[in-house]
Amino acid sequence: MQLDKTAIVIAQRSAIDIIDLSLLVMRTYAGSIVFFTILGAAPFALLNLLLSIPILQYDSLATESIWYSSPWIYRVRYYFVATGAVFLQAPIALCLVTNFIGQSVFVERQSASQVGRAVFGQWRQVFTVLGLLRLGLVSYLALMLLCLIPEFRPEVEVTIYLLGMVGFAYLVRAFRPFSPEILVLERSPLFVDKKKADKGVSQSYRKRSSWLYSAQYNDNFGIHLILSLVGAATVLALCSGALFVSGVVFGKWEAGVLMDAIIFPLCLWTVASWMTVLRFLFYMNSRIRSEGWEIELRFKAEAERWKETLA
Amino acid sequence: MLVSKPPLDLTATIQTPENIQFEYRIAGPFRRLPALVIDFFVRMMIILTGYICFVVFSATLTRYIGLSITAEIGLLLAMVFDFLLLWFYGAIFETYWNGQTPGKWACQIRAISTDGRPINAFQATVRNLLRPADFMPFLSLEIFSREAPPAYIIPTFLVSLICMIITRRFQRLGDLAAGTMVVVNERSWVPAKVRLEDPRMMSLSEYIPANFRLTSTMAKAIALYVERRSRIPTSRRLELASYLAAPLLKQFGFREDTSPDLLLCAIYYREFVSKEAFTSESKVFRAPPPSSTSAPIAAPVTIADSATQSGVTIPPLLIVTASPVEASNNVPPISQN
Repeated sequence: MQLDKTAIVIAQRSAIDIIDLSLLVMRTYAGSIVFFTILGAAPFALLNLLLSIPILQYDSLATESIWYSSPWIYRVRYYFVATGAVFLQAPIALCLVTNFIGQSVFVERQSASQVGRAVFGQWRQVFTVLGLLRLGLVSYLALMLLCLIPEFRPEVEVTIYLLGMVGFAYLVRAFRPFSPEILVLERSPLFVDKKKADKGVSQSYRKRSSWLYSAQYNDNFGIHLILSLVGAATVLALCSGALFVSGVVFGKWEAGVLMDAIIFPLCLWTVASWMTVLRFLFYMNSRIRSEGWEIELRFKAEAERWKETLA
Repeated sequence: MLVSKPPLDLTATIQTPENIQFEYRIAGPFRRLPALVIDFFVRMMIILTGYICFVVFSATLTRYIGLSITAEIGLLLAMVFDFLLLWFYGAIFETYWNGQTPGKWACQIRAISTDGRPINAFQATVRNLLRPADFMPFLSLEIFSREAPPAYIIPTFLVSLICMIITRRFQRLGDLAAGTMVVVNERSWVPAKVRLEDPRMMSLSEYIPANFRLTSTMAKAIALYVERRSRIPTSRRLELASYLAAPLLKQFGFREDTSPDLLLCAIYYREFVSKEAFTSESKVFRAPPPSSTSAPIAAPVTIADSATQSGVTIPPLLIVTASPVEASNNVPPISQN
């Protein structure tokens, strides 16, 4: 890895600068990011829609008989379930984006087949960590259960799904956010045989994670909290904007099927894609800080200058 | 293959008509957002204060002079006051305060012209008058409840966000119309507390040739390293330090196994913790003000007074009374351990 040949200037940045920089990165790689987001997220989004629409239909029928004053109220449950699903699945669904952005910043722009091959080469690790341990694919068990029996049951939805699965994943990702980068970009294996480990040739995912996160837990948690708020606010702004456009263009100021089935999930996946880029930038910043990349560049330049002066 | 495009960063280079280049750090939407929130609260506070003053003034007039200000006049004054504040708060502050409002001042940002000059009254007015357009689309309160009034007062900021993403200098509509941009005020270097825990560094600093002078860039690099080294693992620290220390060791004629980390700390100590800055009664060393020949960096250095990372306990007497000269006991250059 040549630190002076990266697509982003190597410098330690504040959280706020990184969020701003992510917009610049999104603009620069917009086409490819959109392409890889659609490629990775489309199957997940379709399946989510199929599994969660019964909740919407059931709630719509159930609330017809009672008084309610807001056109949003019967959608609340559906929106929570859909948001939780995207939150759980985004790391595994957007692995292609992670790989693309990492390769583009450090090496060169990759073709779709190269990115696909690189990610599928790590499928065991990705499936185990992001799909099972981080509940990306396990979330479908809960969604299937809700699809089969759409009545509201707090013990399933609130206790198991929202507090259990989403809450657990939130906390794990708050303290250990960079698993996709460690697996997809650093290609850390889940287990390393003892000989390799002793020689220091390769580090297991677990060891690498411990090393990367040590002394950064507080920072990671704070950043995760801020990003959650920023992400939520952006989803709200995007949905509201879509509603405004719908009102101005079609005279329809209320959310309908289009909002529920298309626009809301689209907004969620758009923000998830942005958050993936942001997470990569925070990962890069974390390595700049813990490995002193910026200092390495300066020292190498100074050493060269010193040698030239002596010569 | 190498990346051919210039690397991405939050900077903009401006060339003046005199062919002088300036580099500014651009403030993006998320750096500007806290300033907007602060300005909103400042404006609310001014309005609240205005109302309280008016009520007190009105009551005083009624009580002591018998003159009563009618509710209509009060309302009229309040509306005029609100209007002026809403539309000209930013314009007035930015015109007379070099592109800053209280919020911008608190967040260390300022609005400047795209050619690098300070903004004028016209630019400040235009960029602030277009602010509501940047807040669009507005949403009605009706989306929350059918009984709510159709008041379009909830800003989504989408127009400004999209506009900032697609422009090179993160400009919103108001900035584009006025030819302005918002940049970060480059603060002077703020010294961080640096822990130099190894007492051998003082001795080693005495061995550095007296004619060795740091360039400003090298001083900055070493200061950056010393400031951040505590967060870098030891093995990586040694690797990093060796990039610069290796040619220096050769030049100074030191043993090759001298710890590169210690050498850089010793250079830092010699450069920034001078004898003049040493106060004998304190554990804290104050560096002298930056000179023109060295980097503009001056860091207070705290010597650890307890067991250190390297397991070395610094004798308290050395910390309190010894000057760097006294501390040197002809210790030979130190090996890595």
